[in-house]
Formats: sequence, structure tokens, C-alpha cells
Amino acid sequence: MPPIIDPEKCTGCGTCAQICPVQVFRFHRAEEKTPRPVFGEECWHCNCCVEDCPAGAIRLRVPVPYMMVHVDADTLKPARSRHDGN
Amino acid sequence: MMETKNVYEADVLVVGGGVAGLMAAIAAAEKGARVLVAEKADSRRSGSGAAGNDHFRCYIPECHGPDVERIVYEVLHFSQVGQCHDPHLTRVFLRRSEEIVRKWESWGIPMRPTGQWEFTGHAYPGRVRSGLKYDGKKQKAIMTREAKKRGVTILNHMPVIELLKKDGRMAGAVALDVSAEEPSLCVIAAPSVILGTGCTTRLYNNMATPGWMFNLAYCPSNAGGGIAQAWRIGAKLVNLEMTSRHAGPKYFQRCGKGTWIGVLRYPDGSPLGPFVDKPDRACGDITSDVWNSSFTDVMKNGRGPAYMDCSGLTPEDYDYMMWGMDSEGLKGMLNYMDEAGIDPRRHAVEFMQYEPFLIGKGLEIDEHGRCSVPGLYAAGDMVGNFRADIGGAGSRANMPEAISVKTPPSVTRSYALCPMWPKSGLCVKKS
Repeated sequence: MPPIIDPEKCTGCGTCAQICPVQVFRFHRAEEKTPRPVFGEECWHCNCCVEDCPAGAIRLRVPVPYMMVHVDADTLKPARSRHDGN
Repeated sequence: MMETKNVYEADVLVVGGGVAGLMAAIAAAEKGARVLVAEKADSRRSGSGAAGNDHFRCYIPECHGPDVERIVYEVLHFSQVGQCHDPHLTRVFLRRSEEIVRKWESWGIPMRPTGQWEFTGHAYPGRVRSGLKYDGKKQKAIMTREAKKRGVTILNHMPVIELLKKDGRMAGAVALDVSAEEPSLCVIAAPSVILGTGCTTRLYNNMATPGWMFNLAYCPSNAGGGIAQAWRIGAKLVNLEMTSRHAGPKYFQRCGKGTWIGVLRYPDGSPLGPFVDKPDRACGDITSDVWNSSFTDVMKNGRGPAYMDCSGLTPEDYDYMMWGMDSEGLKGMLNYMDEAGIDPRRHAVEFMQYEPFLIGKGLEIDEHGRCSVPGLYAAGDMVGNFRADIGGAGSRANMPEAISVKTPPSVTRSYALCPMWPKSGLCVKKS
């Protein structure tokens, strides 16, 4: 999903646009104050922009289809013991 | 119509500013070559090592003893990556690996962050371990700095699109400058070309999220273009039919499977493998390295799914695992887990096998990194007869004696460039 840049915090340094390994952002310094993610579906969610932004202005959204499937570790036990009231 | 804007000249062109490319550039620069790195993104954060790494396959005599064969045996016959290895290259790599480890440490990459050499993860209980646990979070920025310190010129946002040959040997490459809104073509003249373009992803449909091609463990920008260019220039390629399938959390594709410290379990709690029955910080659970298709097999045979269960971790080992995940570059995943309320101490995470890709498959090299075309070299994940992931990328590039450090006069004249260039830089002439 496109990284979200907080326009209140962004200083327009352009670091995110410069370093993104998948070049998700575009930044027309003459016309814009803030870089824009224009290939949001290509975000690798590597977190580099989040970590390198000197203003801490960026956060990622992980798309719903990427959800990490998990269960309570307590449920990993033989079915019999759950049903026998042990 | 696109302009051909710049012609660059160097003794050595390095294609790709990942770990392998930067290490090759540093090695060549230390020998006095004028080096240019053409990187499609930015070398501070490019490639599969972008956000970090936490394990480096190596041989350190003070830990492993005086006989390198002990580790050679593990790599060739027991490790999960010994599959397509040239045994001679394996020995050369392992013998050089300590030098690279110490070099990285001297540059400020923490190679023994706990204070001593620690070999943990991806290991069989009871056998010697060779994966050095380190903190690679800042490795790309550090290597970029070290390359520039040695006079390497790094051209970011400059993907190479075709290699050039003249009179049967390498002459350089054509690159696309995408640093500006209007792209332009560039020619880079260099008699020695080192390819370090990494693994090849997105060859097959995404196994986890078919509609989202970039949900990947390895860098999505590693599209295999460098291997295709090497093919077109006539270099020998090997093992491209031997795809690898990585594995990890379902459905968020990440590296770092070996960084999870837990036990892989069936829904009934029994372990998938015979190696550990509680979290083991020294070894992890090597079951899915040995039984490569485990996560797929258990879904097909009805016993699955398989879960990574870290619930037995001690608080110290939990902290160690979290630190390891951060070093490995998994902060994006950790932030997501925080937001989703997923806690490895309480939740068992389902794992799956990912789609095929190519790593350690591609160009055939000799111990000096030479390919079959004169003047062409390769290093890192795009090499086809050797693979050691981050260690391989760091060490394989250390072949300075094979690099021609001075441009032959015939190449200079053919590009009609200014014959005088400062030692520290390149001559750039606009056409």
C-alpha cells in the first residue's frame, strides 16, 4: 500500500524519494512540498523510508491480503485433550 | 526522442550498488582503479540487503579451529545452500570470509554485537555452526560511505540496460539516467565490468498474494535484467533451471525465516521436525531448511498447516529474537505485528512456502570472479556456481588481482574522450 506521508511533519527533504529501493515516490521540488507515492502497489514495505525520514513523517500500511495468519499458541495441542475437558 | 546525454569513462564499471557491487567497487578502488557504480535506485538502501541482514556464513579459525574443511563439509553437504556449489570456490570464499568480517567490523558494522563471535540460527543441533549473527541494519549506508571514501563514483538512479563489447572483450554499458523526470541515455565506457545485480524475483506468480507482485522476501527491483544482459553479451550461465523457493510467514512475504526462534508445529502441537522441541536460540528450527517443501506438503497431506511457535521463549531469548529481526531488516513486519496485536510469545504464526525465484543461479565464475567473456566479472546472488547470500556477496567480490586497473589506450581512443582525468574522479563529456 502507498506509504503515508504526514504533510504537517514532512520538511520536503526528498530523502524517501531518493532512497526507496523500488522507487515508489515522485518528487517535483519546483511544484510540490511533499513527495508523492505514485506506485503504491509496488511498495516492498521494507521500512527504509520510515527509518530514514529525518522528520519521522512516514508510516506504512500493510494491505489486508498480506495479513499474518496466526492462532493462540495454546490451541496447538491434540484435539482430544481439548474435548475431554483435560 | 530520448537524448544520449552523457558518456562516462572508468577503468571498472560495477553494475549494481548492492552489497556485492559495493564490495567489488571497494576492492577495485583499493587497487587504484577508477571505479563507477551504476545503481538503479540508491546504494544506501538498494538491493536485498536494503534494510539489513543478521547472518553471515563464514569461517573464523579462532572459533572453528584451524581446519577450514570442517566448515567446507557443512556448506557442501549439510547447509541448505550447498546445492550448486563449486567446491573450489567454496574453499576460496571461506578462506577469505574472515578478512571481510573483520573489514566490516572496522567500518562500524557490528559483527559481534554481543561482544563475542556468535554463530546462531539455521543450524543442526550438535553440529558446528557457521552463520555469524551480526547487525546489518546500517550496512548499505556504511558500505556506500566506504566506497566513496576510496574515490568510487556512484551514479544512483542509473539502471544499466545493455552491456557493450568491442573486439571480443567488454567495453562498458548503456545506461538509462532516470534521476530526472525526463530520462536520458548514457554510455559508460569501461574495459572491466563487474556485474552485481542480485537475485531474480517476479519470474513466477506471487504465491502468497497473487494480485500483489511486490509482496516479496527479496528485493522486487532484482528483476534479473543483469543476467539477461550477460546472456546477450555471450556470457556462460549455469543452473538457471534450479529455482529456489523461500518460505516464511503467511501471507506477508519476508526473509528472516531463520531469525524466528521457535518450534515448527502441527495444529496438534507436535513438532514438524526431530531437531528441537522447545525454542533453541543457538539453532532455531532447521526443519524447513532440510525439508524444503514442508509447509506445502503438510497442507497437501492434511496434517497442516504448520505454525512457528515461539511461545516457550525465555524473556532474554525473546529480546534476542526481536533484536535479530530488527538487524535482519524486518522492522516493517514488526511494526505491522504491533498494530495487528500479534505477539510471538502468545501467538503461533502460520508459515507457507513462497513462489520459485533464482538466487545463486546465473553467471559461471572462476575464483577471481571472471566470467566467460573477457573483461566481465560477477559477484553476489547472480553468480550461478556459488552462493552464500550476504557472505558470498561480501567475499566473492574480493578478487582485485584479476581486475585490469588501467584503461587500455585503444578503448580510450575509440570513445574520443579527454585523455587527462583526475585520479579521484571520472571524465564526463556531454555529447
